[in-house]
Amino acid sequence: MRIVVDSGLCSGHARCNATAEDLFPLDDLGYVAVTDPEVPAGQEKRARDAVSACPERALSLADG
Amino acid sequence: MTTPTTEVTDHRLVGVGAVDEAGDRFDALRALHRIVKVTEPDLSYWLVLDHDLVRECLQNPAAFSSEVITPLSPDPPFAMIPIQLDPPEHTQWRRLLAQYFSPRTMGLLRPRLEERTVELVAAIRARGECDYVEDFALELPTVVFLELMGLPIDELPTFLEWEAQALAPTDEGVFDPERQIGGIFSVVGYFQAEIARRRESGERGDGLLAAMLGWELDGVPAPDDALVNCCLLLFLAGLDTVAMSLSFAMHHLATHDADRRHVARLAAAGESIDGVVEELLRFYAVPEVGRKVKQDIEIGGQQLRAGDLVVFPLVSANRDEALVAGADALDLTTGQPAPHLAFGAGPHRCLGSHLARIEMSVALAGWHRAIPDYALRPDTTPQAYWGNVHGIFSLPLEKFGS
Repeated sequence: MRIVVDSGLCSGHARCNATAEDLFPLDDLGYVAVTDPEVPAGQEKRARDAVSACPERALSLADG
Repeated sequence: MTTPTTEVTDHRLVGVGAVDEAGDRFDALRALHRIVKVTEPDLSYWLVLDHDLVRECLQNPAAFSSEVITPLSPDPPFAMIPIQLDPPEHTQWRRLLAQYFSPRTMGLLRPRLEERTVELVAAIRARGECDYVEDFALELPTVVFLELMGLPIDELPTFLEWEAQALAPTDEGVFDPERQIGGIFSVVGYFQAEIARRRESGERGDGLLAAMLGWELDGVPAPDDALVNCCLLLFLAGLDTVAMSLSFAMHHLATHDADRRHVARLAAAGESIDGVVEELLRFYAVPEVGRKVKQDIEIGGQQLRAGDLVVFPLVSANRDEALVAGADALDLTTGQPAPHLAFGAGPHRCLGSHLARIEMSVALAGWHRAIPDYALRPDTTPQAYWGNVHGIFSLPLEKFGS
């Protein structure tokens, strides 16, 4: 499972970070800056919750 | 394909009524329409009621410009920075401001907020009654604003007075333009003098204002009049929004026993109330955001024309079933908070959202730890007002118990 960010839509709500801080780190301005898009095994639910917390629908998950 | 336009003549952007009416007054329209055309005696605008449409339009600043942010001021005399700028000009300012309002930076304010909350609540508890709006809700964000900007705390009474003039309606629920402009001029005059003083002394001083004095746009120092303008916006945007979100939250809790006990229980146990804050923000979102159409565009089956004005009541989007099942009711025990639009969407997403969330969380937890039980004063019925921001005139609370 891989995190996909539409950075054009991210406007810095930071709800993903509030839900799963380790999977969705922020840059200094507070916008999402995913460094490792691979979701570690066992973390899938947290990733899904964080993705669905985005008010802008800027996040999604892809297989593989 | 466009569908026939529903013309509404009995909706009012500005009004006074029961507290619940502030948010409930969109329910009947939203049940039937995604977007309607409102004509009032002196105003005309599209009203977008549907969650997806609100989000999509706010994410499209090329079509929906922030040049006009309320039909109440269709020809603004100047553009407030950054709220009335469109990209790319807006982007430069947001980039300068963002780090000072990031979740990390705002988290640093938490201890001071907690301290101030404890002081305010202890004084209120000792008195045994309060007007929550005046004695708590307006005061806390103003203290935070002064700290954030790097201004002396003894300016608090002065700023509270200007805030009342610039933002609140009169007791009759009327927004008096002369009074508002008077308040705004006072704030502008203050920041002009403060910036000039810091420039002349060569000491930038503290806080965000100190940082602003060093800002550059395209490699050129930002002009002082633009900085004053930006300071005014920070003042206008962060005070009544937080104060009124808190006031609607406390009105709800004062009048819903099970919800009040739930929050008191979490606060007493030292558990997070962040989920409670999200649900209260969603259900009582106070801003009604305006935009001006820049290019003809079809949305929700309606043909909008360049020059048309549009209002996005965020509370309507947040109570749309398309956002979450059961969106028309408040549920504080809900597992995962809904991805609501209380802070808007798109590039103008509320800059202060992370601060607002901390303020709400600290204020509600601190209150309920010290005053877990309370009630509305029985001889009063609080009244709300609505306009660009929804508010409550006063919220008398008493019968403090444990």
